[in-house]
Order: sequence, then structure tokens, then C-alpha cells
Amino acid sequence: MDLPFHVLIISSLIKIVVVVHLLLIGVMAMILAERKVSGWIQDRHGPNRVGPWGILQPVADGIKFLLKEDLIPDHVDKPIYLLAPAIILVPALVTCGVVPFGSSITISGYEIPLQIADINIGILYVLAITSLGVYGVVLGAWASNNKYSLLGGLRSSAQMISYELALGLSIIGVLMLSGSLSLREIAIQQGSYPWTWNFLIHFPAFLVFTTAAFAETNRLPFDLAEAEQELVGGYHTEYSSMKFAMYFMAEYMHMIVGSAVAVSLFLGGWHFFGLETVGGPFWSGVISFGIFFAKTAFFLFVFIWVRWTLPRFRYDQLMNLGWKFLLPIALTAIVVTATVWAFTQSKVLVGILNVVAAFIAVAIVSTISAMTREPEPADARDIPSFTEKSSS
Amino acid sequence: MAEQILFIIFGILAVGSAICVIAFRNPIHSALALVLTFFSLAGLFISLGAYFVAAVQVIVYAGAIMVLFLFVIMLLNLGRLQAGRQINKAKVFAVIVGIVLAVEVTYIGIKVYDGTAVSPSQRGGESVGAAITSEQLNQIAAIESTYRLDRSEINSDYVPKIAEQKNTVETLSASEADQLIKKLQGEMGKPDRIGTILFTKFLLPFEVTSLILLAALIGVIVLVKRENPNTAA
Repeated sequence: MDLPFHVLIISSLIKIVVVVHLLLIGVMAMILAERKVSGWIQDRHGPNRVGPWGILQPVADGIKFLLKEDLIPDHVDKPIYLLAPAIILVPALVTCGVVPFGSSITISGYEIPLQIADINIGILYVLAITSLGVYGVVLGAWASNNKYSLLGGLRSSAQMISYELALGLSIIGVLMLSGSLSLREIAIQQGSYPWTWNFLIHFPAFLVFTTAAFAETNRLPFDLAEAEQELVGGYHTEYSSMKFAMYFMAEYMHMIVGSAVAVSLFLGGWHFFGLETVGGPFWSGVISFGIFFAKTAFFLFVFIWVRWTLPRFRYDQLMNLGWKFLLPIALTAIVVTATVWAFTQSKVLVGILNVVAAFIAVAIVSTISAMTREPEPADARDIPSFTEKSSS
Repeated sequence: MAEQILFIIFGILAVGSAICVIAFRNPIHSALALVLTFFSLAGLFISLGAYFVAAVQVIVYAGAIMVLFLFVIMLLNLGRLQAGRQINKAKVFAVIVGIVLAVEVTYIGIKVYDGTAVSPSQRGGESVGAAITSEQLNQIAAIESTYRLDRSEINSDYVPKIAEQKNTVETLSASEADQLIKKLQGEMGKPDRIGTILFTKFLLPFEVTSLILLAALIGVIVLVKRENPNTAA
């Protein structure tokens, strides 16, 4: 584990360069995949004009973004307006620093772990950085000095703060059983076979985490921040050219990193039926990376799949789901996991009772909320209104 | 060395952005400068080896509290403050308090520099091969009592990592003891250690803090909750 200093520096630099580029290439692949999959779901071909099988579509999109005129409206708060797209990209990029992309590769005697930094607060670092993602949205919205942008930004930040709670709480069960905050350690402890992975032991927490991850990335069905019919484009209405592209890229990067974190927390990281130990010290590392990549790709496919099959939530439904269902489920999971683990030390029992308890929690919550229900809004436009920002 | 560079960078950032907080006219800009201050403080915690505290600093202050600050500023629609408004009667009082604090900091700084605490590098330079000093033993004992560590645990787990053949603290040389103290301090910043002392040694303050927070929560609900005119009858 303890590498010589120069090996550490060189391998870290290589890993950083590779991971950042993988993320950027991943964004391009996601743009193509999103269009293709949406095409299939809607019984269309999807992009098929640029290059064979439309494979150069992301390149064409990128060139279009670069060559478009970069408009800066007169009425914006310039420093913050320029800063906001950068602020939203940074959290997406730095979170991948603690994600373990594979076991380790042995090159000329040095065992190099496939992870940029294995810090002992791993998952807390992820939570800390994700909680900063909201700044890019809220600042972009405010600096645009446009009421649609501000409304979109406020909606989105309220949503992100609400779902961050459920996201954080859903992880606690996993942390309790693994006894470590390091993503690598958590991934190693899950073992090789799918029935020992965390998503079975903590099934309700896994569902809560996934749902909250959708909300955190502002994707459909939770994309109220940019509901086209209501808010033009939401917080990025006033952004054009490459600045809009940065918001766009940040969304996809958040998806990729979120999927990677979910894979290492719940889906066994780079493990798959012992396949990750096949081959020598070099090839097993490569295979483990491939397995991790495949799992992340599957998770990303689910992201796209959900986007093109579910309708958008209404604002009050979104808040109800977050506060009245996800939060109680996550809290119940914590209590049940802690209690069962303290008395029996049996992961099977934890898994079964977690599911049972989640059903009971949902039943209780929906009974209570049915008893104390306020009259439904007359129509969907009755969302809570925010004060408009007047042009000063 | 790396810690010192980090300390200088984040220290300058912290002070600079703190000045910006009060110098900016636009409340949003001030709030953003405050976010930067919290960030720099997290950086300082990292340079001290307190990773957990740094993460909590970012999650709680930069991630949660400051977002709500921004919300309130945006919702109340606070515009630019008027130029003359910030000069008020409290200024005299602020100057006095500022001077008192500055004197206090200088006094403590001089006192610490004057020999109550000698920097490890100075001591190491004097005697490389010398045995562990009583002062270092005191430091280790202090770490033990604060973090509920056993001497035997230090001897078996940490001493061999510093010097391979040795397995008791007393046999270490002065420079090795410095390394050990540094390693122990870094080790104690880990979340499990913090959890252990938080729920044993500092249990009472911890519970009192949580009660205070609970009281604040209940207070908010009581203040905000209005009787619904439709259901009150």
C-alpha cells in the first residue's frame, strides 16, 4: 500500500488525467445514449445522420455549442453570472476523486489502487461536495436577474436541500454495518456475489438513495427547476453557448458520479461472481475496472430509462414524496438496521426486517397524511409562490 | 512543510474573504464571501489532520446554513445597501472590542512563542540521537487521556510503524517521538476516534448541545405555526 513518493505522485497524476477524461468522454457517450435510448423508447431512430449510427452526434453538438454566440445579457450580475457555470462543474468533477473504480493494478512491482484518493472520510467527502452543487444552480438563477430563472433556481434548491437529507440518511445503514466511511472499504466488504451486496441488505435505503440521486441531479421526473412549460428553461434560461453547455455537462457528470457512488455503496463495487480475481495482478485490475464500468453504465441506463417513461412531478407531490415518504423510510431503516444488528448480527434478518419495516412505515405515514390532509390545490398551477426579484 | 504551505494559503484566503464579507455592498456577494471563509476554515482543519471536522464544516455550514442564508436574502429581495448606512453608533463599541481582541491575540502569541511551546523542528535540530524527553512523554500522555487510548495499544500498533525494531514508547528517540506524536494526532482525527470520545468523554456536552438544538427546533415550529382558521372551529 505504501508506495514510494515519486510513484505515488506519477500514478496519482495519471489517474487524475484518466478519470477526468473518462468523465468528459462519458458525458459525450451519455448525450448520444440519451438520444438513442429516447428514440427507441418513443419508437424512433434517434440521431443517425452524423457519422455511422449517429456516433458523432455529441461532437456535432459540442462544435455547435462552441461556435454559437456567447450572449451576456445587460441586466445580469456579471461576476456571479460568469462564475455560476464553473461552480456547478467543480463539485461534479472533484467528487470522482474518492470513487474506487477497481481493485488495483500491479505495474513493475508497485500495486497501484484504482482510486485517486482513499481518504478515511470518503463518503462524507462525497456528501460535502454534493451539497455544494446547489450553489451553481441558485447563483446562476439569481445572477440572471430574470423571474423565470429565479423561480427555477429556488425550486431546484428547495428540492436539492430536501432530498439531500434523505440521501444522507439512506447511507447510514450501510455505514453502520461496514464500520467504515471509506468507499473502497465498503466496496471490498460487500464480497463477490450479488446476494451479499448491500442493495439486498438495505433494499429500502437503496431505493431512497436512487430516488434522491434523481432529485439531486435535477432529472425527470424531478426536473421542476427547468419545467419548460412553466419556466422557459429554469435557472439556465439566460445562459447561451458554452455556459449553457457547462450546465448541461454538469448534469451528466452528476449522473455519472452519482451512479458510480451508488455502485460502490450498494452494488458491490467492482465485484462480480469472482470474475475480478481472474488473471494476473495486472489483468484482474483491468477486469475489475471493466465490471465497475459496466455496473455504472447499467445505472446510467436506468437514469435515461426513467426519464423517458415517467411524467414530471407536481411541486407539492415532490415535497410530499421527499418529506413524507423518503425521509421516514430512511429513518426507519436506520432504526431497524441498528436494532437488528445489535441483537442478532445477521445480515439476512436485517435485509428482511428492513423491507417489512419500510412497508409498515409507508402504511403509517400514508394513514396519518390521509387523516390530516389539506384540501388539494385546485389545479396544478397552485404551487407555492416565491417573491419575484425586481430589477434593481 | 506541505501543511505549512496549505496553512498559509488557506489562512490568507480565510482572512481575505472574511474582510470581503464586511466590505461588499451587495448582501449576496457578502454571503458568498462567507461561504469562501467557511471553505478556507475547512482547508485549515485539513492541514491540521482533522478531516472529519473539515467535512462536517463544509456539510453543515457551506452546504446547509449558507444556502438558507442565500434563500432568505433572495426571498426578502435585499438590494444594495446604502453607502452611508454602515457607519453607525455601534462603530465605537466595535473598535474597542476589536482592539481588546487584537491585544489578547498578540499576548497569547508572544506567550506561546516565549517557550511554553517549543516547535518540534527546533528540538529535533539540537539532538538527533537523544532519547525521548519528558515533555514529549507528557504530550503522549495527554493524547492518551483525551482519546481514551491505552499505552499498550500505542506500543503495539503505532510505535513499530515509526521505528521497526522498537515496541515501547520509552525507547524512542526524540525525533521519532515527534513523528509518533504527529501520527497519533493524525490518527485521532479519524471519524471512529471522534465518535468514541464524543460518546464517552464528551457525552454530557454532546447531549446538552442536542437539547439546545431541539429547543430551537421546537421554538421555530411554535413561532411559525398558526391556527388554521378553517379547522380551528
